[in-house]
Amino acid sequence: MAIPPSSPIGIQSNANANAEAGPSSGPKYLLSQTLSAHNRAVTALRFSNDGQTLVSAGADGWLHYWKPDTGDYIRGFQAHKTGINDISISPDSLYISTASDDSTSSIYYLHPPPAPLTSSSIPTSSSSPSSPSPNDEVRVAPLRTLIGHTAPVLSIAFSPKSNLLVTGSYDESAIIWDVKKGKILRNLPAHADAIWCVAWDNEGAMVLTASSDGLIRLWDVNTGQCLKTLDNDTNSPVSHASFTPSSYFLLSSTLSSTLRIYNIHTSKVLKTIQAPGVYVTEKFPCPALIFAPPDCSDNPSLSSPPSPDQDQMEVDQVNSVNGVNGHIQGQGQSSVMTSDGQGQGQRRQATTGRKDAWIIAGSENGKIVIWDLQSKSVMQVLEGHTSTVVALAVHPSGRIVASGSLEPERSIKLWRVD
Amino acid sequence: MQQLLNPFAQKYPEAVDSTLSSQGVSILFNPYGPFAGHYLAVGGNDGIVEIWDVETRGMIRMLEGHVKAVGGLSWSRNNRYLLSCSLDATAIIWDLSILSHPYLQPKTPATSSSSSSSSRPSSSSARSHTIRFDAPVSTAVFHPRNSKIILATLTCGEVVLVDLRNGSRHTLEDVVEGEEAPDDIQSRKRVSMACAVFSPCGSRIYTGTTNGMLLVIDPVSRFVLQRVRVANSALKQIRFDASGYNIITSASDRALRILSVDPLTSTLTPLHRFQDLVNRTPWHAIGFSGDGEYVMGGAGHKMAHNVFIWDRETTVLIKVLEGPKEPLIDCDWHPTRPVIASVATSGDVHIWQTSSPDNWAAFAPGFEELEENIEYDEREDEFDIEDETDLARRKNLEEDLEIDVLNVPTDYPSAPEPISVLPPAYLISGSEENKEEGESCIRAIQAVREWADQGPDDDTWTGFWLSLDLDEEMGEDDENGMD
Repeated sequence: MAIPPSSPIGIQSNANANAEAGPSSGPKYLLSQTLSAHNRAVTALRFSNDGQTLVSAGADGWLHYWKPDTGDYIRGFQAHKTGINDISISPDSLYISTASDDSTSSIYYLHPPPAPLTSSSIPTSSSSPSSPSPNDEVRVAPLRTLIGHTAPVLSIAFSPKSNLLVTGSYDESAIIWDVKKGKILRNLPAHADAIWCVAWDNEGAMVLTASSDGLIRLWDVNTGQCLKTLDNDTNSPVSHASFTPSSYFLLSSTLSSTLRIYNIHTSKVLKTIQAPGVYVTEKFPCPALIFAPPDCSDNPSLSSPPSPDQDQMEVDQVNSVNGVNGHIQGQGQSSVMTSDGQGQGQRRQATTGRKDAWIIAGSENGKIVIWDLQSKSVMQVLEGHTSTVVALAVHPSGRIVASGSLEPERSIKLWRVD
Repeated sequence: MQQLLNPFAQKYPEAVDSTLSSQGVSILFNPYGPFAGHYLAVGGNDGIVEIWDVETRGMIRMLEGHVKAVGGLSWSRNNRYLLSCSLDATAIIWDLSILSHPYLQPKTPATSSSSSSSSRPSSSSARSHTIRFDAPVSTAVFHPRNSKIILATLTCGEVVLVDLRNGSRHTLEDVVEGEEAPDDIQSRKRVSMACAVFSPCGSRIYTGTTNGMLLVIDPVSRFVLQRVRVANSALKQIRFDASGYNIITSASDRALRILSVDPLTSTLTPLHRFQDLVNRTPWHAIGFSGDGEYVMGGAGHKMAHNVFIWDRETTVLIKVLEGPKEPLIDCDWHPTRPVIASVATSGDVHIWQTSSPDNWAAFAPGFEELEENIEYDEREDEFDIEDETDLARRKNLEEDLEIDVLNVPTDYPSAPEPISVLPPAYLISGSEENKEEGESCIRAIQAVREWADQGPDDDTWTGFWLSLDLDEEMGEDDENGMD
């Protein structure tokens, strides 16, 4: 396995922090911005499916909103008095849910509607959008508070249809919630240790729970039955797991610095992925994600830097945050929506039918490693963080990676393909 | 997912699992798409159409527009639109991508694909079209390929084909191409049509008449292609199975008949006939199971709530679901699972399911339950100690295969495509004449397809689902359905 030579940690220069890379081809991510807002560790990052919002969550209980294209700060608010461990944005980009140390989860509007909060509220004139100042703290009450766990909630995920949420907790149980009612739909009490990660399959028919007890269990959402249990040969705690888009496989990350791809029907490990010395997770649950590498020869509207059209789109975005939604229907909105929307990945796959897939994972040494899934070789190592990377997100277009780190660094970095 | 489930599990439901408190008189699962069967539309006695989430057993949309009972429902191909028709002589098309609050705009491919983006934000109502008729509407269905084409059956015995693309309306008549159109109204004998559906691929219209005839009509020319006598009394209902190869009809002589359909020529062959000989039950609702293996009949008993289930192939009566005492009005079979929904005269909707025993083996990795003892055969090298480097190399080699992790499976239920090539049987055995006939059928089917695909609707996102509106006031009284 080819490993790039490691370089001194902590280079902050934006230009060349990741000049050396693996034996690779394809697009390269370069550090473009470092953002800081959280007073404690950055614990979770998510892009909304429409690609227009990046949300960061911290151990300080705050949520901060950022613009993926520019890295601009939009706003922030304290969602919990205690730390937030994980967040999930509904696939329709309407709601955001949090998993907190106070044993509860909350659901908020992703973008709060214009006050007053009545259905008759008519959008005001588009000519007076008050620019969002970073200190303009929005006092938001949660739409739903999910109470049921008896210990910190560690992981949360919206179902593909946004009608259900699954949470995994330190209390060793997972709960499937009815979002509309804000109540427990099913209890899945079947691990012998904390559940670090929960996830949905593509159809919303199955959830997985990954636990510190070394097991991953698959559950039938409809009946609440356990369908299957997967273990790993070292019995290492499973810190992260997710279904691949095709739902036949899942990716797991264990606290033995190892990533595995399982075939869920045969329970066989199809790929074992490591990068000794570069990818290290022994103590902290570092996330790992599968994504389609950005296609450089793709639709030029994707690869071009913000064009006037896209600026128009951002104005729109600001406006709708402030309640002037729908008045400026720039040409850019629809085109960006179609190219950045949820179906984009599928569409791109459908047209090319290619099998390239990359895995990205954060590491305890502050590095972020990207592998090619098929060859298991390291494609790129992103260096810049000085603390463990526990938050990671890839933009729906694949062109932006956001990463966040633990204390003392606690910063968010945006990496872009130019 | 499907492959992890027990393949020998029972394929039909057993007992009422939960009851949704409603005012329903008609129900329909969404039949197609990745989320097929996740939603249940309920047409209300009071004119309100409700959409229930089958997973949570909670009502997620309430659509107000009709003023009388809603007797017919239809989902568009990708579930974005719902058609409801009512005794108030209207049919309404609902756009389910629109939430009641204008500021809640789901950012999904459904909203971005709207070609008419200018019209979208202004209409904050889900009600996108209201079609008025001269008489109460008993059923109305979307064309399977385009929700701008609607087929409505009126209680006065007329079937109307409405084309919203050009605003045309045509009342279907029993006229064969080339046949002398009967001059005097007397000789036409006022053939009343009692029910009408599109074939699942959308190439033909099948209508049942009050004198027991089944007419196959070309939607473009509106000429009758086939005329088959099915029964000697009025046909009340026609339903296709998902594949489009089988039809079930319900007639006023209280018999259910299964016919096989040749999707190319629309030739109908009667196969079976079901009847409740003891009670002579009339049937209020009929249908196939999602896989087409079973046939369902909702019995119209005065004092009981029964659903009969037969095996389609062997015609054996397999199960009679016995529910609460209120009579049954309508029922529908889930497109993918052994689940049936039925409506009682009280308006309550019952969901019937199987109870699945816990599979304890699933909790232990690598554990397998055996039916009987088996002799264990040790592999030659099973307990050999392998050199570590060899092991690593072998493992690495084993893992050197390409896997397709990103492509989303598309094995969900979808409407069959119209036939575009001649089936092999025609090429092998068919005479020249036969072949020519087949080809002319294909030309006709393709012409219908072209006609239907013109002026497409906005229902293009196959993965459509309904966004939730969490701002709605929630009464504590909607706590039903869970047990």
